[in-house]
Amino acid sequence: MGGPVLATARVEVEDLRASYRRRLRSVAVLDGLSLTVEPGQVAAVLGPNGAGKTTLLRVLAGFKRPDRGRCAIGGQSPAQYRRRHGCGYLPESLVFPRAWTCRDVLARSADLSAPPPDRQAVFSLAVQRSGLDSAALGTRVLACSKGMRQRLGLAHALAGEPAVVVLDEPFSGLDAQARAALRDELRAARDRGAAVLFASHETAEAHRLADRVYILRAGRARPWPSADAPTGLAQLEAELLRNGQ
Amino acid sequence: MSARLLPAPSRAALVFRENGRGFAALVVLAGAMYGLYASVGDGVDAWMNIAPTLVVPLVSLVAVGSFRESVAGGAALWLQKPLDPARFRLARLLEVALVAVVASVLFRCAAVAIGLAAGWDPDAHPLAALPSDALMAVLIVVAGFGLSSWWGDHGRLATAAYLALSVSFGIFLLQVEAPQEPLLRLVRGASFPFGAVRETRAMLTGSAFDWRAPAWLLAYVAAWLVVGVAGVRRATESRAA
Repeated sequence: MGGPVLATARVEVEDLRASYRRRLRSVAVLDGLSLTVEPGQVAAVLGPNGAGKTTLLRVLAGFKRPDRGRCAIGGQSPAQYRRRHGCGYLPESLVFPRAWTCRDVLARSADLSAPPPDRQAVFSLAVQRSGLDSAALGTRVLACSKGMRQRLGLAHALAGEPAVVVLDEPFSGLDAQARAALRDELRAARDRGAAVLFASHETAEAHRLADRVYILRAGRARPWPSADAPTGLAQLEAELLRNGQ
Repeated sequence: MSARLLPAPSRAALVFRENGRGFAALVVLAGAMYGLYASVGDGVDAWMNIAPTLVVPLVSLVAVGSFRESVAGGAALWLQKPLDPARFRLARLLEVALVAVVASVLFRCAAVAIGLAAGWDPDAHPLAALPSDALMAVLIVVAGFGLSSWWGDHGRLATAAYLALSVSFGIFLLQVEAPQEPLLRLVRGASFPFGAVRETRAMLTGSAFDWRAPAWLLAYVAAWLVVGVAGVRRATESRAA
Protein backbone atom coordinates (compact mmCIF):
# COMPACT_ATOMS: atom_id res chain seq x y z
CA MET A 1 0.00 0.00 0.00
CA GLY A 2 2.28 2.79 -1.18
CA GLY A 3 5.88 3.70 -0.58
CA PRO A 4 7.58 4.83 2.60
CA VAL A 5 7.03 8.23 4.17
CA LEU A 6 10.37 10.01 3.81
CA ALA A 7 10.04 12.33 6.79
CA THR A 8 7.79 12.24 9.81
CA ALA A 9 6.17 15.23 11.44
CA ARG A 10 4.51 15.86 14.78
CA VAL A 11 1.30 17.85 14.89
CA GLU A 12 1.11 20.18 17.89
CA VAL A 13 -1.70 22.52 18.79
CA GLU A 14 -1.62 24.63 21.93
CA ASP A 15 -4.21 27.05 23.23
CA LEU A 16 -5.63 27.57 19.77
CA ARG A 17 -8.32 30.15 19.12
CA ALA A 18 -10.02 30.40 15.74
CA SER A 19 -13.07 32.45 14.86
CA TYR A 20 -15.31 33.55 12.02
CA ARG A 21 -16.88 36.88 11.29
CA ARG A 22 -20.64 36.77 11.55
CA ARG A 23 -22.48 40.05 10.97
CA LEU A 24 -19.35 42.06 11.74
CA ARG A 25 -18.87 40.16 15.01
CA SER A 26 -16.08 37.72 15.66
CA VAL A 27 -17.48 34.38 16.82
CA ALA A 28 -14.95 31.98 18.34
CA VAL A 29 -15.34 28.39 17.18
CA LEU A 30 -12.24 27.05 18.87
CA ASP A 31 -10.92 28.56 22.07
CA GLY A 32 -8.10 27.18 24.14
CA LEU A 33 -7.85 23.96 22.13
CA SER A 34 -4.77 21.78 22.56
CA LEU A 35 -3.93 18.40 21.05
CA THR A 36 -1.01 16.41 19.71
CA VAL A 37 -0.70 13.77 17.02
CA GLU A 38 2.56 11.87 16.97
CA PRO A 39 4.09 10.37 13.84
CA GLY A 40 2.74 6.85 13.41
CA GLN A 41 -0.49 7.66 15.19
CA VAL A 42 -4.12 7.91 14.11
CA ALA A 43 -6.22 10.44 16.01
CA ALA A 44 -9.95 10.99 15.65
CA VAL A 45 -11.85 14.15 16.48
CA LEU A 46 -15.50 13.72 17.41
CA GLY A 47 -18.11 16.22 18.38
CA PRO A 48 -21.55 17.58 17.57
CA ASN A 49 -22.34 19.69 14.50
CA GLY A 50 -20.81 23.12 14.86
CA ALA A 51 -18.25 22.00 17.44
CA GLY A 52 -15.38 23.23 15.23
CA LYS A 53 -14.06 19.99 13.73
CA THR A 54 -13.89 21.37 10.19
CA THR A 55 -12.34 24.62 11.42
CA LEU A 56 -9.66 22.69 13.29
CA LEU A 57 -8.82 20.67 10.19
CA ARG A 58 -8.69 23.79 8.02
CA VAL A 59 -6.26 25.35 10.48
CA LEU A 60 -4.10 22.22 10.47
CA ALA A 61 -4.06 22.13 6.67
CA GLY A 62 -2.96 25.77 6.68
CA PHE A 63 -6.08 27.14 5.02
CA LYS A 64 -7.35 29.12 7.98
CA ARG A 65 -5.46 31.51 10.16
CA PRO A 66 -5.92 31.08 13.89
CA ASP A 67 -6.42 34.18 16.01
CA ARG A 68 -4.14 32.97 18.76
CA GLY A 69 -2.18 30.02 20.00
CA ARG A 70 0.45 27.75 18.57
CA CYS A 71 -0.18 25.37 15.72
CA ALA A 72 2.85 23.63 14.30
CA ILE A 73 3.59 20.69 12.04
CA GLY A 74 7.16 19.49 12.24
CA GLY A 75 7.98 22.80 13.94
CA GLN A 76 6.64 24.92 11.08
CA SER A 77 3.39 26.76 10.56
CA PRO A 78 0.85 24.56 8.74
CA ALA A 79 1.01 26.72 5.60
CA GLN A 80 4.81 26.63 5.53
CA TYR A 81 4.83 22.90 6.08
CA ARG A 82 2.18 22.30 3.44
CA ARG A 83 4.02 24.38 0.87
CA ARG A 84 7.31 22.57 1.45
CA HIS A 85 6.15 19.01 2.02
CA GLY A 86 2.46 18.86 1.18
CA CYS A 87 -0.21 17.35 3.36
CA GLY A 88 -2.99 14.90 2.66
CA TYR A 89 -6.16 16.91 3.12
CA LEU A 90 -9.71 15.84 2.46
CA PRO A 91 -11.87 18.95 2.76
CA GLU A 92 -15.47 18.89 3.86
CA SER A 93 -16.72 19.76 0.38
CA LEU A 94 -14.90 18.45 -2.67
CA VAL A 95 -14.76 21.04 -5.44
CA PHE A 96 -13.18 19.13 -8.29
CA PRO A 97 -13.50 20.75 -11.71
CA ARG A 98 -16.86 19.43 -12.90
CA ALA A 99 -15.89 19.04 -16.56
CA TRP A 100 -12.81 16.96 -15.77
CA THR A 101 -12.87 13.17 -15.84
CA CYS A 102 -11.78 11.17 -12.80
CA ARG A 103 -8.67 10.20 -14.78
CA ASP A 104 -7.83 13.88 -15.35
CA VAL A 105 -8.15 14.58 -11.62
CA LEU A 106 -5.87 11.71 -10.62
CA ALA A 107 -3.32 12.59 -13.33
CA ARG A 108 -3.22 16.18 -12.08
CA SER A 109 -2.94 14.89 -8.54
CA ALA A 110 0.06 12.73 -9.47
CA ASP A 111 1.66 15.64 -11.32
CA LEU A 112 1.44 17.83 -8.23
CA SER A 113 2.34 15.12 -5.70
CA ALA A 114 5.52 13.60 -7.08
CA PRO A 115 8.68 14.37 -9.02
CA PRO A 116 8.65 13.40 -12.72
CA PRO A 117 10.16 9.90 -12.45
CA ASP A 118 7.58 8.84 -9.84
CA ARG A 119 4.44 10.32 -11.38
CA GLN A 120 3.31 7.29 -13.31
CA ALA A 121 3.67 5.07 -10.24
CA VAL A 122 1.84 7.59 -8.04
CA PHE A 123 -0.92 7.80 -10.65
CA SER A 124 -1.27 4.01 -10.82
CA LEU A 125 -1.44 3.77 -7.04
CA ALA A 126 -4.03 6.57 -6.90
CA VAL A 127 -6.16 4.74 -9.46
CA GLN A 128 -5.88 1.57 -7.41
CA ARG A 129 -6.78 3.43 -4.21
CA SER A 130 -9.78 5.08 -5.79
CA GLY A 131 -11.18 1.67 -6.66
CA LEU A 132 -12.59 3.13 -9.90
CA ASP A 133 -12.62 0.91 -12.97
CA SER A 134 -11.67 2.16 -16.44
CA ALA A 135 -15.25 3.15 -17.28
CA ALA A 136 -15.58 5.12 -14.04
CA LEU A 137 -12.22 6.79 -14.63
CA GLY A 138 -13.57 8.21 -17.88
CA THR A 139 -16.62 9.66 -16.12
CA ARG A 140 -16.79 13.41 -15.68
CA VAL A 141 -16.83 14.63 -12.09
CA LEU A 142 -20.20 16.24 -12.84
CA ALA A 143 -21.69 12.78 -13.32
CA CYS A 144 -20.00 11.12 -10.33
CA SER A 145 -21.95 9.96 -7.31
CA LYS A 146 -21.02 11.28 -3.86
CA GLY A 147 -19.24 8.04 -3.10
CA MET A 148 -17.16 8.21 -6.29
CA ARG A 149 -16.17 11.79 -5.53
CA GLN A 150 -15.24 10.80 -1.99
CA ARG A 151 -13.01 7.98 -3.28
CA LEU A 152 -11.44 10.43 -5.68
CA GLY A 153 -10.82 12.91 -2.88
CA LEU A 154 -9.23 10.26 -0.68
CA ALA A 155 -7.00 8.95 -3.49
CA HIS A 156 -5.96 12.54 -4.19
CA ALA A 157 -5.25 13.27 -0.51
CA LEU A 158 -3.12 10.15 -0.07
CA ALA A 159 -1.21 10.53 -3.36
CA GLY A 160 2.51 11.02 -2.74
CA GLU A 161 2.33 9.38 0.72
CA PRO A 162 2.16 12.59 2.79
CA ALA A 163 3.60 12.52 6.29
CA VAL A 164 0.57 14.40 7.64
CA VAL A 165 -2.95 13.34 6.72
CA VAL A 166 -5.95 15.46 7.73
CA LEU A 167 -9.36 14.12 6.68
CA ASP A 168 -12.77 15.66 7.18
CA GLU A 169 -15.53 13.03 7.36
CA PRO A 170 -13.53 10.47 5.34
CA PHE A 171 -16.14 7.71 5.69
CA SER A 172 -19.00 9.84 4.42
CA GLY A 173 -20.70 8.32 1.35
CA LEU A 174 -18.52 5.20 1.24
CA ASP A 175 -19.94 1.69 0.92
CA ALA A 176 -18.78 -1.15 3.18
CA GLN A 177 -16.04 -2.29 0.79
CA ALA A 178 -14.63 1.22 0.39
CA ARG A 179 -14.77 1.76 4.15
CA ALA A 180 -12.71 -1.37 4.73
CA ALA A 181 -10.21 -0.27 2.09
CA LEU A 182 -9.96 3.17 3.71
CA ARG A 183 -9.33 1.64 7.12
CA ASP A 184 -6.50 -0.40 5.58
CA GLU A 185 -5.08 2.71 3.92
CA LEU A 186 -5.09 4.70 7.15
CA ARG A 187 -3.47 1.86 9.06
CA ALA A 188 -0.84 1.59 6.33
CA ALA A 189 -0.21 5.34 6.57
CA ARG A 190 0.21 5.01 10.33
CA ASP A 191 2.62 2.11 9.86
CA ARG A 192 4.67 4.24 7.48
CA GLY A 193 5.02 6.86 10.22
CA ALA A 194 2.40 9.36 9.07
CA ALA A 195 0.46 11.44 11.57
CA VAL A 196 -3.21 10.93 10.72
CA LEU A 197 -6.07 13.03 12.08
CA PHE A 198 -9.65 12.64 10.99
CA ALA A 199 -12.89 14.29 12.02
CA SER A 200 -16.03 12.21 11.94
CA HIS A 201 -19.50 11.50 13.24
CA GLU A 202 -18.76 7.79 12.82
CA THR A 203 -18.14 6.82 16.43
CA ALA A 204 -17.61 3.14 15.62
CA GLU A 205 -14.97 3.89 12.97
CA ALA A 206 -13.16 6.24 15.33
CA HIS A 207 -13.25 3.69 18.12
CA ARG A 208 -12.04 0.91 15.84
CA LEU A 209 -9.27 2.83 14.10
CA ALA A 210 -7.93 5.64 16.26
CA ASP A 211 -5.08 5.39 18.71
CA ARG A 212 -6.29 8.58 20.30
CA VAL A 213 -9.76 10.12 20.37
CA TYR A 214 -10.56 13.76 21.11
CA ILE A 215 -14.02 15.07 21.83
CA LEU A 216 -14.58 18.69 20.90
CA ARG A 217 -16.74 20.67 23.26
CA ALA A 218 -17.03 24.39 23.92
CA GLY A 219 -14.12 25.07 21.62
CA ARG A 220 -11.77 22.70 23.40
CA ALA A 221 -10.55 19.16 22.72
CA ARG A 222 -10.87 16.66 25.54
CA PRO A 223 -8.92 13.41 25.22
CA TRP A 224 -11.04 10.29 25.58
CA PRO A 225 -10.98 8.15 27.56
CA SER A 226 -10.05 10.15 30.60
CA ALA A 227 -7.91 8.33 33.13
CA ASP A 228 -10.82 7.08 35.22
CA ALA A 229 -13.29 6.18 32.44
CA PRO A 230 -14.03 2.85 30.77
CA THR A 231 -13.00 2.56 27.12
CA GLY A 232 -15.70 0.64 25.24
CA LEU A 233 -17.64 1.86 22.23
CA ALA A 234 -20.83 2.05 24.29
CA GLN A 235 -19.13 4.35 26.77
CA LEU A 236 -17.79 6.53 23.95
CA GLU A 237 -21.26 6.82 22.41
CA ALA A 238 -22.74 7.64 25.81
CA GLU A 239 -20.09 10.30 26.33
CA LEU A 240 -20.89 11.87 22.95
CA LEU A 241 -24.60 11.85 23.73
CA ARG A 242 -23.84 13.68 26.95
CA ASN A 243 -21.97 16.23 24.77
CA GLY A 244 -24.98 16.75 22.53
CA GLN A 245 -23.95 14.79 19.42
CA MET B 1 7.48 13.70 -24.25
CA SER B 2 6.19 15.86 -21.39
CA ALA B 3 7.10 14.85 -17.87
CA ARG B 4 3.57 15.67 -16.77
CA LEU B 5 0.68 13.25 -17.04
CA LEU B 6 -1.60 16.20 -17.68
CA PRO B 7 0.56 18.74 -19.56
CA ALA B 8 -0.32 22.41 -20.02
CA PRO B 9 -2.00 22.02 -23.45
CA SER B 10 -4.28 19.29 -22.04
CA ARG B 11 -5.15 21.54 -19.10
CA ALA B 12 -5.94 24.39 -21.48
CA ALA B 13 -8.20 22.02 -23.42
CA LEU B 14 -9.91 21.22 -20.11
CA VAL B 15 -10.49 24.95 -19.51
CA PHE B 16 -12.22 24.98 -22.90
CA ARG B 17 -14.34 22.03 -21.85
CA GLU B 18 -15.18 23.66 -18.49
CA ASN B 19 -16.57 26.66 -20.35
CA GLY B 20 -18.26 24.73 -23.14
CA ARG B 21 -21.74 25.78 -22.06
CA GLY B 22 -20.75 29.42 -21.78
CA PHE B 23 -19.21 29.48 -25.25
CA ALA B 24 -22.20 27.63 -26.69
CA ALA B 25 -24.51 30.23 -25.12
CA LEU B 26 -22.47 32.98 -26.79
CA VAL B 27 -22.79 31.28 -30.18
CA VAL B 28 -26.56 31.10 -29.70
CA LEU B 29 -26.68 34.74 -28.58
CA ALA B 30 -24.60 35.89 -31.56
CA GLY B 31 -26.77 33.82 -33.93
CA ALA B 32 -29.96 35.30 -32.47
CA MET B 33 -28.56 38.82 -32.79
CA TYR B 34 -27.52 38.10 -36.38
CA GLY B 35 -30.98 36.86 -37.25
CA LEU B 36 -32.50 39.98 -35.70
CA TYR B 37 -30.18 42.37 -37.53
CA ALA B 38 -30.35 40.44 -40.83
CA SER B 39 -34.12 40.86 -40.83
CA VAL B 40 -33.70 44.65 -40.89
CA GLY B 41 -32.33 45.83 -44.26
CA ASP B 42 -28.65 46.77 -43.80
CA GLY B 43 -28.57 45.27 -40.33
CA VAL B 44 -25.77 42.82 -41.14
CA ASP B 45 -23.28 45.68 -41.35
CA ALA B 46 -24.40 46.95 -37.96
CA TRP B 47 -24.14 43.44 -36.51
CA MET B 48 -20.61 43.11 -37.89
CA ASN B 49 -19.63 46.28 -36.06
CA ILE B 50 -21.26 45.40 -32.79
CA ALA B 51 -20.86 41.63 -32.41
CA PRO B 52 -17.04 41.37 -32.40
CA THR B 53 -16.81 44.28 -29.95
CA LEU B 54 -19.17 42.60 -27.52
CA VAL B 55 -17.91 39.10 -28.05
CA VAL B 56 -14.34 39.64 -26.82
CA PRO B 57 -15.38 40.84 -23.34
CA LEU B 58 -18.06 38.17 -23.12
CA VAL B 59 -15.71 35.37 -24.18
CA SER B 60 -13.14 36.59 -21.68
CA LEU B 61 -15.73 36.76 -18.91
CA VAL B 62 -16.76 33.18 -19.62
CA ALA B 63 -13.11 32.10 -19.34
CA VAL B 64 -12.62 34.09 -16.11
CA GLY B 65 -15.11 31.71 -14.46
CA SER B 66 -12.38 29.06 -14.55
CA PHE B 67 -10.54 30.83 -11.76
CA ARG B 68 -13.25 29.54 -9.47
CA GLU B 69 -11.51 26.16 -9.56
CA SER B 70 -8.36 27.52 -8.00
CA VAL B 71 -9.88 29.61 -5.22
CA ALA B 72 -12.04 28.72 -2.22
CA GLY B 73 -12.71 24.95 -2.07
CA GLY B 74 -10.74 24.28 -5.24
CA ALA B 75 -7.66 25.86 -3.72
CA ALA B 76 -7.80 23.49 -0.75
CA LEU B 77 -7.86 20.55 -3.11
CA TRP B 78 -4.81 21.40 -5.17
CA LEU B 79 -2.76 23.52 -2.78
CA GLN B 80 -2.46 20.68 -0.26
CA LYS B 81 0.32 19.43 -2.51
CA PRO B 82 3.85 20.80 -2.12
CA LEU B 83 3.70 23.81 -4.41
CA ASP B 84 3.75 27.57 -4.30
CA PRO B 85 0.17 28.94 -4.34
CA ALA B 86 1.08 32.02 -6.37
CA ARG B 87 2.94 30.03 -9.03
CA PHE B 88 0.08 27.56 -9.21
CA ARG B 89 -2.45 30.31 -9.84
CA LEU B 90 -0.18 32.09 -12.32
CA ALA B 91 -0.01 28.85 -14.31
CA ARG B 92 -3.80 28.76 -14.22
CA LEU B 93 -3.82 32.38 -15.40
CA LEU B 94 -1.77 31.43 -18.46
CA GLU B 95 -4.12 28.56 -19.31
CA VAL B 96 -7.21 30.75 -18.95
CA ALA B 97 -5.64 33.62 -20.92
CA LEU B 98 -4.68 31.21 -23.71
CA VAL B 99 -8.24 29.90 -23.93
CA ALA B 100 -9.71 33.44 -23.89
CA VAL B 101 -7.36 34.52 -26.71
CA VAL B 102 -8.03 31.46 -28.85
CA ALA B 103 -11.80 31.69 -28.33
CA SER B 104 -11.81 35.43 -29.10
CA VAL B 105 -9.86 34.84 -32.32
CA LEU B 106 -12.20 32.01 -33.32
CA PHE B 107 -15.27 34.17 -32.71
CA ARG B 108 -13.74 37.06 -34.69
CA CYS B 109 -12.84 34.73 -37.57
CA ALA B 110 -16.36 33.29 -37.58
CA ALA B 111 -17.87 36.79 -37.58
CA VAL B 112 -15.61 37.83 -40.47
CA ALA B 113 -16.46 34.68 -42.44
CA ILE B 114 -20.17 35.46 -42.03
CA GLY B 115 -19.52 39.09 -43.02
CA LEU B 116 -17.60 38.09 -46.15
CA ALA B 117 -20.39 35.71 -47.10
CA ALA B 118 -22.81 38.61 -46.66
CA GLY B 119 -20.83 40.75 -49.08
CA TRP B 120 -18.16 42.48 -47.01
CA ASP B 121 -15.16 43.87 -48.87
CA PRO B 122 -12.13 41.59 -48.24
CA ASP B 123 -9.79 44.52 -49.03
CA ALA B 124 -11.00 46.26 -45.87
CA HIS B 125 -8.67 44.05 -43.75
CA PRO B 126 -11.44 42.48 -41.70
CA LEU B 127 -8.95 40.51 -39.60
CA ALA B 128 -6.84 43.54 -38.67
CA ALA B 129 -8.48 43.64 -35.25
CA LEU B 130 -7.23 40.17 -34.26
CA PRO B 131 -4.18 41.41 -32.31
CA SER B 132 -6.21 43.94 -30.35
CA ASP B 133 -8.87 41.29 -29.68
CA ALA B 134 -6.17 39.07 -28.22
CA LEU B 135 -4.76 41.96 -26.20
CA MET B 136 -8.18 42.87 -24.86
CA ALA B 137 -8.86 39.25 -23.87
CA VAL B 138 -5.56 39.02 -21.99
CA LEU B 139 -6.24 42.29 -20.15
CA ILE B 140 -9.72 41.20 -19.08
CA VAL B 141 -8.46 37.81 -17.92
CA VAL B 142 -5.66 39.43 -15.91
CA ALA B 143 -8.15 41.75 -14.22
CA GLY B 144 -10.38 38.71 -13.61
CA PHE B 145 -7.42 36.92 -12.03
CA GLY B 146 -6.88 39.80 -9.61
CA LEU B 147 -10.55 40.13 -8.70
CA SER B 148 -11.13 36.36 -8.39
CA SER B 149 -8.27 36.11 -5.91
CA TRP B 150 -10.23 38.32 -3.53
CA TRP B 151 -13.83 37.59 -4.48
CA GLY B 152 -13.50 33.82 -4.94
CA ASP B 153 -16.69 32.37 -6.37
CA HIS B 154 -17.92 35.80 -7.43
CA GLY B 155 -14.83 36.68 -9.47
CA ARG B 156 -16.67 36.62 -12.79
CA LEU B 157 -19.43 38.87 -11.49
CA ALA B 158 -16.86 41.27 -9.99
CA THR B 159 -15.00 41.40 -13.32
CA ALA B 160 -18.21 42.10 -15.25
CA ALA B 161 -19.10 44.87 -12.79
CA TYR B 162 -15.60 46.30 -13.09
CA LEU B 163 -15.83 46.39 -16.90
CA ALA B 164 -19.29 47.97 -16.76
CA LEU B 165 -18.07 50.62 -14.31
CA SER B 166 -15.03 51.32 -16.49
CA VAL B 167 -17.24 51.86 -19.55
CA SER B 168 -19.63 54.06 -17.55
CA PHE B 169 -16.77 56.10 -16.19
CA GLY B 170 -15.29 56.50 -19.69
CA ILE B 171 -18.61 57.86 -20.97
CA PHE B 172 -18.86 60.15 -17.94
CA LEU B 173 -15.34 61.50 -18.57
CA LEU B 174 -16.35 62.59 -22.06
CA GLN B 175 -18.88 64.95 -20.51
CA VAL B 176 -16.89 66.56 -17.69
CA GLU B 177 -15.06 69.83 -18.14
CA ALA B 178 -12.01 69.10 -16.01
CA PRO B 179 -10.97 65.49 -16.69
CA GLN B 180 -7.52 66.11 -15.13
CA GLU B 181 -8.86 66.49 -11.58
CA PRO B 182 -6.73 64.28 -9.27
CA LEU B 183 -9.63 62.09 -8.20
CA LEU B 184 -10.78 61.57 -11.79
CA ARG B 185 -7.23 60.73 -12.83
CA LEU B 186 -7.00 58.19 -10.05
CA VAL B 187 -10.27 56.52 -11.07
CA ARG B 188 -9.22 56.59 -14.70
CA GLY B 189 -5.95 54.91 -13.75
CA ALA B 190 -7.87 52.08 -12.07
CA SER B 191 -10.33 51.72 -14.95
CA PHE B 192 -9.98 49.27 -17.79
CA PRO B 193 -7.54 50.85 -20.30
CA PHE B 194 -9.80 51.08 -23.33
CA GLY B 195 -7.86 54.14 -24.56
CA ALA B 196 -4.48 52.42 -24.40
CA VAL B 197 -5.90 49.39 -26.22
CA ARG B 198 -7.27 51.67 -28.94
CA GLU B 199 -3.93 53.47 -29.31
CA THR B 200 -2.01 50.19 -29.40
CA ARG B 201 -4.39 48.92 -32.06
CA ALA B 202 -3.79 52.07 -34.10
CA MET B 203 -0.03 51.53 -33.82
CA LEU B 204 -0.42 47.95 -34.99
CA THR B 205 -2.28 49.17 -38.06
CA GLY B 206 0.25 51.81 -39.06
CA SER B 207 0.10 54.84 -36.72
CA ALA B 208 3.33 56.28 -35.30
CA PHE B 209 4.80 54.41 -32.33
CA ASP B 210 4.12 55.99 -28.95
CA TRP B 211 5.66 54.17 -25.99
CA ARG B 212 3.10 55.46 -23.50
CA ALA B 213 0.25 53.14 -24.53
CA PRO B 214 2.16 49.83 -24.27
CA ALA B 215 3.89 51.05 -21.10
CA TRP B 216 0.49 51.80 -19.60
CA LEU B 217 -0.76 48.33 -20.55
CA LEU B 218 2.29 46.67 -19.01
CA ALA B 219 1.82 48.65 -15.79
CA TYR B 220 -1.86 47.67 -15.79
CA VAL B 221 -1.03 43.97 -16.14
CA ALA B 222 1.67 44.19 -13.47
CA ALA B 223 -0.70 45.93 -11.05
CA TRP B 224 -3.39 43.27 -11.42
CA LEU B 225 -0.80 40.49 -11.04
CA VAL B 226 0.32 42.03 -7.76
CA VAL B 227 -3.30 42.32 -6.59
CA GLY B 228 -3.95 38.70 -7.59
CA VAL B 229 -0.86 37.25 -5.95
CA ALA B 230 -1.58 39.23 -2.76
CA GLY B 231 -5.10 37.78 -2.75
CA VAL B 232 -3.78 34.25 -3.16
CA ARG B 233 -1.31 34.71 -0.33
CA ARG B 234 -3.98 36.11 1.95
CA ALA B 235 -6.38 33.27 1.21
CA THR B 236 -3.97 30.38 1.47
CA GLU B 237 -1.39 31.13 4.15
CA SER B 238 -1.44 30.74 7.86
CA ARG B 239 0.59 32.98 10.14
CA ALA B 240 0.51 30.74 13.20
CA ALA B 241 3.55 28.78 14.27
